Amino acid sequence: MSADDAQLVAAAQAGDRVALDSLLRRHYDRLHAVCRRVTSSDADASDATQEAMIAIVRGLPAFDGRSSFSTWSYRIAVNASLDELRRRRRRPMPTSDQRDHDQPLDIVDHRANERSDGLGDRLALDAALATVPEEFRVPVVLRDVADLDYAEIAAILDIPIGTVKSRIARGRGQLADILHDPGNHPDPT
Amino acid sequence: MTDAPRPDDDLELASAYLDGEIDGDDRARVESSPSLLRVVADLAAVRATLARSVPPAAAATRESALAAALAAAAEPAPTADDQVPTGNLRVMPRRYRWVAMAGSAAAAVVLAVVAVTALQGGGSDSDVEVADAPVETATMVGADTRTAAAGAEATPEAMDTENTLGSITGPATVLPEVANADDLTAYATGAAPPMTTFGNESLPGQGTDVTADTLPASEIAPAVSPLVPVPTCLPADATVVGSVSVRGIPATVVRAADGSLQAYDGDCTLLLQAQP
Repeated sequence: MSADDAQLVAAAQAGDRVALDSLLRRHYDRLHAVCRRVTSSDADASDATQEAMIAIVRGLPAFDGRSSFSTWSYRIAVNASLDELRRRRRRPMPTSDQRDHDQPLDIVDHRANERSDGLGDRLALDAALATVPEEFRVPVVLRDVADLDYAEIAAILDIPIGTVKSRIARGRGQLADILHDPGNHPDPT
Repeated sequence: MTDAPRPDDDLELASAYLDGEIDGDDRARVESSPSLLRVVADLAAVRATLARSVPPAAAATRESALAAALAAAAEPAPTADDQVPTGNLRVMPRRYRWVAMAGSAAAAVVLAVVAVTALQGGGSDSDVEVADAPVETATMVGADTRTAAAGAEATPEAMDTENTLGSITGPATVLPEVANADDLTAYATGAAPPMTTFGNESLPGQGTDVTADTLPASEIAPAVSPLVPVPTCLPADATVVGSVSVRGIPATVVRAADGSLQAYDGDCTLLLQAQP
């Protein structure tokens, strides 16, 4: 834990709300980035990050510093993101009956990959990430977005370092294939 | 980018090389193999793509999350279950909060009206239950749902009520129902498409029991509904026109730079488009 984090954690545990606010602000953006890449959705990432923040606050009194605050909070953010994805799968979607009006609903995002603007690139990356199974996607995000080393990722996900290594490799390989040739991969929706 | 399938061993070796998590012998093996170096280049491109373009959260979203977290700090000490930060929280997802807020307000108004009616109409068995309703419910008579919703959002209890969705008893608002490009154009020009009721017990998409004929002109004209937040991920050059329901999905209508009308959901998925 960095000295500043350690001081802020100690102060926050002692009831200093200013320190707690500073601690949360310091880590919000990096946790949001992980949530954003794991969920591939702005809305889900915002929900997941908020839940992670609340879980951090609620769990802080029991945080004993054996791992770094950063590692601990990443673990919370990953869990919040995976919970959000589970909730997303449970959300009711329009059924065929509801959509079966005069003509089929025209989802126009098929052209996203052809757009040259930032939105198109983002949608293409989100679509590619959503296609990669969570067990591969999460280690890749922790490595390439959070810039964690294999040992830290192993600690966060509670898996052996060798497993981290192979999952990152497979996740990156799948992403490379999808981004290179998105037409040959199924739409996750 | 390599076109031939990569052996898993090569992939793992190249990936570990990229991360610097490799020993001397394997490093030499990668650096002496053009095919492995090509795989490294592929994976490096993926890494760069992932790292460079994480869209930041909007400032309002960040502040809202921080406020919610600080509010949680002020709550009573959590139970043993809560102390394990599994992410399995009972906080309502941000996107559904508007449903709960509007629904809670509608429910409160209904309860208050029933209470007033019951008090004016004399005693009955149901009077007992109405009399037990919270005092603040009666004070909400006459308040518009938006004001009531704001009050609901301000309390920690309102944020910790995923089940609030089940307590909603009546319609809270309506959105113009848009099923195709013609509807979208009609909406943008102020014509009157049918309306879909939102804020009922079910999620958006249930029921179309309100018609444009019964609504004032102000609810027919294109407008941004306060209950459909405008996504922050819309194209930068788009102009927001209003809020609609696209086959039951709340959506924001924008006019693109080329003049076309587009309807996006909360994740900026393009649901419908009408050419100029």
